[in-house]
Amino acid sequence: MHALTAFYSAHSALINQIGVNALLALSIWVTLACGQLSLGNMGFMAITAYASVLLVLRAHWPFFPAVLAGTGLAAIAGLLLGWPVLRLRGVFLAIATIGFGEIVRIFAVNLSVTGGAEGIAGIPQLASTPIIYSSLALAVFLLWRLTRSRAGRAFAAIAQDEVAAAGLGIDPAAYKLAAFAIGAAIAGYAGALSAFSSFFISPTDYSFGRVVDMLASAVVGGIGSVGGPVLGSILLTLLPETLRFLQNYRDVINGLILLFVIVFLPQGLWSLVDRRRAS
Amino acid sequence: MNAIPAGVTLLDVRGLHAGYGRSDVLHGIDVRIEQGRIASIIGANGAGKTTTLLAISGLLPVRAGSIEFSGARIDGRTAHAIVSSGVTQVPEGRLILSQMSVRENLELGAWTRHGRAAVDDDIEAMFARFPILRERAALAAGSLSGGEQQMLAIARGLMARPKLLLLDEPSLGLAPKLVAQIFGIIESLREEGQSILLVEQNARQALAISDYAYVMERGSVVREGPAGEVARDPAVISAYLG
Repeated sequence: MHALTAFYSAHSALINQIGVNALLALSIWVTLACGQLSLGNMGFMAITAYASVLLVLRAHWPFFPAVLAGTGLAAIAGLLLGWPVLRLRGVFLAIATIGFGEIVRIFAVNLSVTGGAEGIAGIPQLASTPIIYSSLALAVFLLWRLTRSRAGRAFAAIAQDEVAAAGLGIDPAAYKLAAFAIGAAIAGYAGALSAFSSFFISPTDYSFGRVVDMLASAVVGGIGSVGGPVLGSILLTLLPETLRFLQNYRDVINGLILLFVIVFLPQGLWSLVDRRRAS
Repeated sequence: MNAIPAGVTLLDVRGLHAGYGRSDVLHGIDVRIEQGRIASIIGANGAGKTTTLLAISGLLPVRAGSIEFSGARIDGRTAHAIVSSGVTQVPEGRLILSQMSVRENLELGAWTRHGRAAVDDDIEAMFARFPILRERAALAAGSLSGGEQQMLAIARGLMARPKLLLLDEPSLGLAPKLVAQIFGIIESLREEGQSILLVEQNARQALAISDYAYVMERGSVVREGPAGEVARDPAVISAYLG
């Protein structure tokens, strides 16, 4: 028991980071499950993070109401972004949503309420490991239920062929908007948890690289199932840490390992789990 | 099966204009379909047959003209709303969901319906009509042969229990034996009272099973009449049946 406590106190930051990254990977997975390559999730992270931190620090709101209000704001932003980009597909959608993320970041740099480029310091450590992991468990459960629901079948049909889906009587616009809002809410919520488990936030936390990490986690883990993004996040968060002994060569080996996973497991790591279950 | 008596107008398309980009493909099409009958549109590649179907099913915007179905205007409605109102298209190239199983494709065909038991009954009915689909039920639809995929596409269309079934080139790319089988299925659907609009390049087979026919050329209807009369028209014979 003592060894466990010692392990946790030495690695609690990393453990929290895995949980947050898993939520972020799930946020991008939701839109992917509906066939939409939406890459603006760092913007939703920023919206909820700044909103909830300001509500706690300036307006003295309690933690959970502040985070939920910020999450609701991200969901609304997701709908507002989703509406004009409904007609865009593939790479055009990706570029438009990246643009949204950059706009949010530039606002954060230039507004005084967000502390400009220096950000906001002195954030209380309110997002504990149990809060992060119970949130992750709830998100996994709800998304798993979603994939088994009528909406989940609509998502899968739209992802495969939007025109065919419309021809079956499925309303692609409604389900795509729902996917945008759910993805934005999860990304925002994770952004708030991330903010409340570090001491400060600044616009650099919400740069384009952030969404690349989310996408890599989801794809390496496998987008065919809700377990994939979680597995991918664990690998992508732990791998650079375990490769520390390689020093300068760390990023090279890290990149090579990911490359090998993609080449040899195009369906992602989760396909190993599914294969074992099937046999 | 339907409350509307046979012979009453089900679909009334008037002065339909539609197209892609800046150019109109259809220059004012009039098509009428009666309850319980098969009407077919024949014509060469590029005549505007598929465009007509896409405009009716809402997958392509109507630029001018009107489409009335069961007495209500449906032009301007979204594709999924038109399916809900009772018009289902079996698209050219079939558009089956290739990564999903045959059974999942059939279940999705019944998307607009409610009541699990009735849907399950209908899936059984489709398996009875297309026994090969029962054998393939658990397989990915993309692994089926062309003829099997066409049967799946028709079965999936029927799962919506449409008042009007739009069939776009159901014989395209199929071996002669399969073509005969598909046309046999379409004929048996008519006997059960299903109203059908059939678009075909295979004019001979289409005219043989249709009640009424339209001949399209370059975006206009150039000839129409009872299928038997159209089939005896010397101009039609030399252009499409020769």
